[in-house]
Amino acid sequence: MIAASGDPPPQLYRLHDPPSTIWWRGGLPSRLGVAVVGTRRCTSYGWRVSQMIGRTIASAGWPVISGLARGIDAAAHHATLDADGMGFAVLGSGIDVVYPAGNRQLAERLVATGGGIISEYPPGTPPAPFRFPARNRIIAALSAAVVVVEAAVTGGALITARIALELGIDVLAVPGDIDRETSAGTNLLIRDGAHPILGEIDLMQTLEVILGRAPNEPALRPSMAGPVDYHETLRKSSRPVGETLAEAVKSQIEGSRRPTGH
Amino acid sequence: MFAQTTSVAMVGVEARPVRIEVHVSRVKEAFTLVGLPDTSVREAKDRVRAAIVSSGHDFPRRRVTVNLSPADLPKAGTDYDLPIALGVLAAAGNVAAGLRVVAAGELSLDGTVRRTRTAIGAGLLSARKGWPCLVAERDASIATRVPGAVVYPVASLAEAAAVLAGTQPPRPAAPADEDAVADSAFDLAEVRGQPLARRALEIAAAGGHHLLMVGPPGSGKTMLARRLTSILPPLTDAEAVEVACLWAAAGRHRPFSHQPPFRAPHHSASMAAVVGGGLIHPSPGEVSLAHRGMLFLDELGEFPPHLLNALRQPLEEGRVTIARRGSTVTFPAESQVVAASNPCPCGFRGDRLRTCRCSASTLERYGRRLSGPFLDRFDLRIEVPTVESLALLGGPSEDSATVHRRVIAARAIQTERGIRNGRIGRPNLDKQPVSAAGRDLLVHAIQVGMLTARGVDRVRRVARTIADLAGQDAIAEDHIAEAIAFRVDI
Repeated sequence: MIAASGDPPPQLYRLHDPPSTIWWRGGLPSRLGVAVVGTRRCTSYGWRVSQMIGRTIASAGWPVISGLARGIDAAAHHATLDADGMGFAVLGSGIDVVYPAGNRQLAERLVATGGGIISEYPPGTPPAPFRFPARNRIIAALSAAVVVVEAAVTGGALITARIALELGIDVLAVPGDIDRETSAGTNLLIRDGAHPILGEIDLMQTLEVILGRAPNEPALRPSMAGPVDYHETLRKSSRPVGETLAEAVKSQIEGSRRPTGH
Repeated sequence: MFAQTTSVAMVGVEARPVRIEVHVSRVKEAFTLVGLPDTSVREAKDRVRAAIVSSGHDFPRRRVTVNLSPADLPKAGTDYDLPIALGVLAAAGNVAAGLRVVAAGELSLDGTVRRTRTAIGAGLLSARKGWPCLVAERDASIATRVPGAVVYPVASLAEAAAVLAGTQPPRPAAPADEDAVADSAFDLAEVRGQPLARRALEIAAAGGHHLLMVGPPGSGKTMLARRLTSILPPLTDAEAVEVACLWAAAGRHRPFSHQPPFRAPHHSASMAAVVGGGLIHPSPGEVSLAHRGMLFLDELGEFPPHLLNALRQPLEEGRVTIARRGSTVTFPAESQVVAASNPCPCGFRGDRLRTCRCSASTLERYGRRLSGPFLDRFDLRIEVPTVESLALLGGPSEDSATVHRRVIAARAIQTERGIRNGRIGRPNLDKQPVSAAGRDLLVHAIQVGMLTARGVDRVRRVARTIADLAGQDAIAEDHIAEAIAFRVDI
């Protein structure tokens, strides 16, 4: 394994307790990125939105920072790779101990595609519950904005958001159903002043305000065609089923082909 | 003295003649049976002896040798009792020798002829050879369904012997059983809400497409699937004979019917039970018993992966080849598969309100079970959501009879074209006229990632059926668009 260690990158000196040494594989982010964090037990909605967000950030050319956990983290990392972007994962264990083991391949792909995995713990350190909140401060410090996709009120993602606020880093949150546990945390953040993400274009505009113009001019937008709820469409329509479905699919395709709004 | 009769063996779905040669010689009393009989055939000796005596004839007190020919063709079952008994009577001089009849039936000790599983084979052989066939009264209705078959129902060995001796005229075959009427217990009128699923069922029935339904427990997937049988077109005469042959080959009784078969193997069923198997000689499995009908796989995710993979060939090619030590046989398996699955083991993944309790690793394992290549066989893939309680209070929906009429009309168009849409292959698919706007829509759908290259053919097939349901020759943009809606990624 090729690993490097050394002084932390300058971004981390924003912390009142910066790590003394940093271990990494692959590279370190050369500029401030955007963190995508959230619950490990995400819903299909969270997974979908996390992918959309990861893809948007990555194709704009900003580094995507996350924690390599299951759920929201994994979705964001996968989307980053799919968009040929740079993804960085900050671990709560040594860089040779990928947890969960199921994400080992994901970690290798991050390293191989210009991103990297980063840890303040020496190689061989096992994951432990108290190390995860500590690594969250590094995720926040490497970023210019933190996006919380789905989180319960007690989630670790809210710790990342609180650290971000202490450092003066912008927090964005994805709104969700008010009666769903995994949206309670993000909705709370929005009530307390976090920027709600209303869609892909809204996200891009917000990030450009925070980070300045995106390094990459987004080329042809990749699939924006999220799943349409055909059942809902049919419920509202009084026309024959076939016609309604045809209409919904056509407008969905048409909507995805429209040039981007910026 | 020598006599010969003919009976039938089912090899795959083919009816093969079995010659039964009986020789009676003057040496001391014995009764031997040769020609690869299995145990059930060997036991025929005792039944035949008792039945002959009960019928008022003498069993020859000499050496009786029975040979079932061809000797290398394995024979199983009790269908050879009647022809063996007739052969013995003929060889002993009680009945005219040189019997040009096909006979199949089990004998009871009092000489009564009982039903067999190979009645349809006896009918086929009768038609092919132009000989009459002697079968039990209950089997006559099945045998008469074969065009050209001459069927003599016989109640007892005594009657069979009398008919052959010409001392009693053959009775006309009893009029065929009425088809079991369409199962009125299941009607689409009972389905409330679910407009998407109802439409999918109609398209599936009209084009013979495989259908996959994914939804939480209690959303009505099983209820919907059962109702597909109420709108499937009836079998043609030739198809009904094919189905009867398969059931005979499996050694199963099924009343002769134009109603498409419905099979629903449980997910604990073995590979041999579902795909087909047999210890030494192949016998058809559920996928073949559902030939020309519907194979319902409930709880698809619970089926073992190797079983689902084994189903891929029959789903795609409509036949299944089974090799065993004794022989290799290809059975037709053009069944229409309807599968239902929970979105995850706990059932609530993707539910709007309830949270899924499955761990990530469980989900991953579940996802792997439903492998891509298997799911790809389904032209129609829909989500079935839980119906809101209020919708359940609504009035009755369209009934099966109405949908059935549309399905039959769409099927008629396909019959004229010569191929069912669910099985239409590449060259024929390319011949189907598609409007320019429809072609553009396909291209755009691929560009925006709504459709993969391998999904295109499936969408074109479904669009063909939608156009047929609309009675239109050319596939229009709207037909393509609607077909795309039925290709949800699961």
